[in-house]
Order: sequence, then C-alpha cells, then structure tokens
Amino acid sequence: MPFHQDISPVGISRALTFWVAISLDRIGRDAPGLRFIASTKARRTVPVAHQIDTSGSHEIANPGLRSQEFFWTPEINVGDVMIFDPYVCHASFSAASMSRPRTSVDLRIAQFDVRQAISYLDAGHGPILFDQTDMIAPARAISGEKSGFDYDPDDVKGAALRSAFEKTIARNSSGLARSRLVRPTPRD
Amino acid sequence: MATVNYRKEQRRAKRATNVLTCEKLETSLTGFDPATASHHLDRFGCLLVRGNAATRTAVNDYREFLECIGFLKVPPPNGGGLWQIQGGTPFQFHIHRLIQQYFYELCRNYFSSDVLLSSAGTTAMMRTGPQIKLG
Repeated sequence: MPFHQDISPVGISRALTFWVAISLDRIGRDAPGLRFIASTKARRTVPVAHQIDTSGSHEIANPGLRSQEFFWTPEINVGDVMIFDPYVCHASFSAASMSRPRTSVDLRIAQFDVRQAISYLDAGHGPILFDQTDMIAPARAISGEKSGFDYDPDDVKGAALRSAFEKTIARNSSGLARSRLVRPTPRD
Repeated sequence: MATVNYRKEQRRAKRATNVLTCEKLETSLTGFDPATASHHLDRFGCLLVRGNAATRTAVNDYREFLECIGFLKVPPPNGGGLWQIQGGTPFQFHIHRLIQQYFYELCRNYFSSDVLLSSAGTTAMMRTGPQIKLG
C-alpha cells in the first residue's frame, strides 16, 4: 500500500485505527512493516488529495516531509497494537531483507454517533457497539441480495446497551436499518 | 525500495524537533496510563503500545484459530502485495474484545464518549507478502 490517509476511505474524522500484529515474525524487520510520517497536530487537520483508481485504491503521490516531520518505521511484534488517527500518512514498507509474510488485523473505532451507526446498518457493514463491559456485535454474515451482517434477536448479552441502541435506531432511522437489527434469523 | 535504516531515522527524528521523538510515540501496557496515551495520540496522531503476556496469549490464540480455518494457508502475493478480507467473518470480534479490554479507557478519554462504535465492514484482516527476490 502506498502512502495514504485512512480518512479517505473511512470518512470518520475522529476514528482511530487499531492495527494488531498477528504474525510471529518481527514486523518491520523480517516481514513487511508500516511506515508513518510522524507529524504534529497542525499537519493533521485536513485530508490530503489522493489519487484514486477504479479499483478503489487510493494514494498520496508525493507526501513530502516538512521540517518537523520524519519517517517512522517501527518494529512491531506479536501482541503489540499500533494506534493512529485517520489523518496520519502511512504506507506499507517492504525491503529486500524481509522474507516473511505479514498477517495483521485492523479495525476502526469512533465515538457512538447515531447517524454513523445507521449508515453502517444501511450499508450492511454491521455496526459494533461497546462500553466498558458490554459489546453488541453481529452474530453472522449473510450473503445474497441483502448481504451484510445479521444480529441475533435472542442474544441477551449487553441487554441494556442493546435496548438503548434499538430505541435510538427506532427514533432516528429508516426502515432498512431497523429491519437489519430485528430480522429473525434461521436456525440450523 | 530502500532498506530500513533505523539509525538514520532515529537521527532524523532527533534533529527534527525536541518534542517529536520516537520515544514519545511508543509506550507499553505495563503501567499504561490511558489519559497520557490519549494526550499523545491527540498530539502526534500515532502511538505504538507494546503488548504484554496477556495480549500475546490472546493474539496467539487468535492466530491458532486462523490457522484452523485455513486463513494462514492462503499465500499472500509477493512484491509487497496485499491480500485482505474486509469484514465478512464473525471471528474478528475476538480482537474487538481485546481492544475493549485494554483500550476502552483510552478511547473514552480520546473521544469523551462512554459508548464506542466500530463495524465489521470496516475491519480488515490482511496478509502482506515479501518482495520478490530476483535471481
């Protein structure tokens, strides 16, 4: 992946990306790593123009470095978590000495916003809500014409959070978003 | 592509500014202070949190699961290529729960919100291949 900001595809201005190393190999030494442009807050206030191709790939052609910035290519080990905001320019970094593949998971977290949650529901992206103790997450992926994620109406985990969520969605959302939350699920 | 030159990057980091150093961009779960971490994230935009035995165990369990379902048998493309699954699988919530356990307070501080939002569709598992070795 060339240099890019996550704000371009993610679109949530304050979402944080949590990037978790799964590989046993040392990422940034033995396996391809991540390269960041470490920059101050003043530089991270607006999206930078990206070149976008038909496949959805997006990149900053020439990110450049200002006087107070530098490239940062940390070595990341299994169990480490890299956290960054959506305005940080970053890229994959690979060198000839890196002979191992890299496996990672990255996820985005933002503050709860009902419009954002509804847009996730409408798009079939399966919103996940959590507080300190509870988490509401889709029970399974569904495919076909209405592909997306299905919630299990019998799932009582996080009942208070779920109830508040459903009431909020019911007050604010389209019928599509509501149906994704309450759709009966087939049993095996 | 160039080889990573850590010493060169460290020297440049030290020259760049007195405040923006790599040390500021790295912390550890041992003695982790969510408020300080939130402050650094807001100021510098990125933060590497070194894991502990518990996070390593959790991730190792997750990797074993990925091995069981064959995910790690898929060869990633060479030449720095990327292979990814965007959403689509329920097992990724294992990592969401890991984040909830260790980073809820950080997120609560950063966003000033008790309830946090993520989504399956914006979660990706990636395998990135090494460069092709010629000759």
